[in-house]
Amino acid sequence: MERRRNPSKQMLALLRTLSARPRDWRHGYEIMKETGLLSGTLYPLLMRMTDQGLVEAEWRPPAHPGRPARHAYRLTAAGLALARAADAEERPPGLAARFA
Amino acid sequence: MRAVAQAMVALASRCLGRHRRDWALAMREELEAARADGRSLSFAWGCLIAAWRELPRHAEGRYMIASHGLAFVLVIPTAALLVASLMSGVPYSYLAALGGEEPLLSDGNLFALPSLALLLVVVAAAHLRIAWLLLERDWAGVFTLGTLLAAVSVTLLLFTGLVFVTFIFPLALAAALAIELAAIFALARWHALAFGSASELLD
Repeated sequence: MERRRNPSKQMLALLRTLSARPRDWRHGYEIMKETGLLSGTLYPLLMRMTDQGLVEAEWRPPAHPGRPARHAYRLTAAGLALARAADAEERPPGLAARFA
Repeated sequence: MRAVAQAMVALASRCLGRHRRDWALAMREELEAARADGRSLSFAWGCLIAAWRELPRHAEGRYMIASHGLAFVLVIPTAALLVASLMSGVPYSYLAALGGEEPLLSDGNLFALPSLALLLVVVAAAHLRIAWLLLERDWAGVFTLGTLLAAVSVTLLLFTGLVFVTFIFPLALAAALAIELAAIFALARWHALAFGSASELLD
């Protein structure tokens, strides 16, 4: 079985951003702006998380006709569970109990 | 600026290889969004860094590292070493300068020095071409030039040995070439096993 390491600071930022609106598909550049991650950090992270089944990627039709399709990302059920677990761990114990 | 960013993303795309083709296309499409924001260069640079970080993680990337390593660490430095040694007078002009003192050098054999030096220039130039072909994965070209190099080094070995009765320099050159050709052969074999081409040349 693959052992999953604790999420890095960058991965936590990405999980937080994607779990804020879990059903929405987001584009790479939009995620960069929201998380503050640079493309050199974001893309390897997205690739890794897609390989691990935490993120799903899909080519989405353009918002404006005539523009090319763009790759978009959102969390899978496993990714969302990880995001929630990471979020619960980050909260102080009292607060976590109230949200449980 | 736009062209530089596009070139960087294109290079990133090559580094990502077939394995991550979708991601390379995704980066290319996002470049437009970054450009509209005036951040195309930093975005493209990040994509290139991301692609380089991916290189050791896939077979094609590992092959790229090995082929560039072979070209830039072994083949091109060997060419540079040959040119530098020729320019500093080793071995033929050195032997020529010894003319009067060295009993084995005479007017009879000094005539061969310019043509042997020219052969060494050919060997150095062939090295540069081999490095290029290696990175282009033009295995037919690499093997043709490799055969030529082997023939030239045998010629150098025989003529230098016969004319100057010294085998030290040509043997060192032949040993260096043998190591290089063995490394190139190993790389071609790796390429054939991993990606299927070059196999007909190795059979």
